[in-house]
Amino acid sequence: MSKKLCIIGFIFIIFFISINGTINNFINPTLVVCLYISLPILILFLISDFKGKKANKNASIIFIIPVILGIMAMGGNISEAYTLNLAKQNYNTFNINKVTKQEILDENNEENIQNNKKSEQNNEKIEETIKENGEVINVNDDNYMDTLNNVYQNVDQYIGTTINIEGCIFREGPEIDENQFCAGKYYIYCCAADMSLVGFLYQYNNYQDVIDGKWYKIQAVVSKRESEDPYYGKYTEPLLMVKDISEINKPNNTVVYQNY
Amino acid sequence: MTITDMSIIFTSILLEAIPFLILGVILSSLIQEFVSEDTLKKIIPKNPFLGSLVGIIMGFFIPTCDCAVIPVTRRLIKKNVPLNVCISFMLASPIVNPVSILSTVYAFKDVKPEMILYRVGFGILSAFIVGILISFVSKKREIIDEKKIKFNDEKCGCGGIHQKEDSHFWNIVWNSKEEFIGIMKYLIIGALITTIAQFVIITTGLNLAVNNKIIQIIVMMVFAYIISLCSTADAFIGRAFINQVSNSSILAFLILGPMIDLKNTLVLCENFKKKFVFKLLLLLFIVVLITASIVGI
Repeated sequence: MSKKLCIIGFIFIIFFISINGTINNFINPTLVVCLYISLPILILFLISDFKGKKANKNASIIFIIPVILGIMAMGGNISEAYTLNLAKQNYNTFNINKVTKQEILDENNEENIQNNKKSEQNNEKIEETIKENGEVINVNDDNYMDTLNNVYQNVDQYIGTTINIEGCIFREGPEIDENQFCAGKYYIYCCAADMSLVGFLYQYNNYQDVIDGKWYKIQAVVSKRESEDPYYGKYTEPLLMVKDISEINKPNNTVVYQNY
Repeated sequence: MTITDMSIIFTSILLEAIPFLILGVILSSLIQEFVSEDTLKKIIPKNPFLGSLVGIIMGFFIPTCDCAVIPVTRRLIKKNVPLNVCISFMLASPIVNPVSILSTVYAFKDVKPEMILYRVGFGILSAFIVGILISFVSKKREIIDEKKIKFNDEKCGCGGIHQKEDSHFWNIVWNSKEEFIGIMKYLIIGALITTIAQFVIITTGLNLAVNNKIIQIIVMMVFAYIISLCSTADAFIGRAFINQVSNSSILAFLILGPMIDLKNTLVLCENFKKKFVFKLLLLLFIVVLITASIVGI
């Protein structure tokens, strides 16, 4: 296979994914800039190949693979089945403090049963006493990660704040109770290979109506819950009480990034 | 999980790697064009321990990721820079990369800030030790696979016939292009294998937590090797394992990941002999395993 065709293939993939508007579903915006800087260099490589020097051998036919897979990937639309498996494996989580449920879920441990009852009562109390403070945060792709960071790090300051947000539902995890679920968007550090699902934890009485893998628009009020971790001890994390929830079509943009 | 998902993951790995690979081949070509062997001989001490240290310091001044550093290393070896210097540079550069350090700071500053120092410090130490050891067990003739490179000009090795009127600029472009195409072939294969391995791990829900401390470290090292993430993402993925696995194994994951992975092993095989690559892998695994075990945080 001619080296010219290889280089043209790479330029083609970058160009058409960019035109398609889905390049941000593949790599971090900072790396997109680096990729665009690489484009004129690739063109220079192509020109040098035309300049008359003779190379010893052509390139391998293996270079056809990125072109074929690049065309198949052009939509950049990763499936919920993949990301749910990712979330289920606890491969990534936004909140690094994990609760080991072995003690808490042990039905034979009387002390833990009593602790669970107290915890449920505390949650009910939080739900009864939570008052909205009139502040509203409308979360969009630009402030998604900043909002997540701020609320997690300063929970008490946000108690009572109403948050309007979109997210994909997942609820299999050791720290998620029966009437709770997580909803989030896909967070990319560098490229889609390191993607994770990040979002808030929600509590909702009609949790059975919420379906894993579907996208919802959620209005919820910030509350908190106390959890315990064998390494870090007790800690507080935000728990959002759902006021309103409605299913939506999968958004065009499902990926968020950290603003550095 | 669909073939589209796999295509997206594979394409994203390549799109991320292309700019850094281009950076690496250009640096390599600049060294070829402008830095003579005599200059390098003056800079680099003959003492192997000091030489490895210089290699690590070079990593600070030529900070590259694990993709970009391989063509630069190969060029230095061809310029007869001592092997210990080249290997120490190759292994240290992705760890002392400012972006890599920043990502480690951001990932661990709130949960385990000492991990930042451990990653950089023990990463440099591992690079130093492996650089020294590999120079004892490998000779230069065992390293570069001459069969794969057809020289028209022994000094250049670009594989092209030189014209008298060739300028520095077009020599650099030509050299870079030839190296880029050569390395990309193996990067494509590596990215394909990595994508499939990631899918297997994710869809089977593989549990990486084991009870034995040493085996846990080995598991995390193999995991780092297979998933082939860049050194920036390694930090955040490593953080997610706090409370699931031991801190020693997270450290091993953070040190080994930037230095070598499945994708880069295939790139190394492009112009280094397989026997040398195998020795390097083995030494690296052993040194990182011992380092992480001893630290025992």
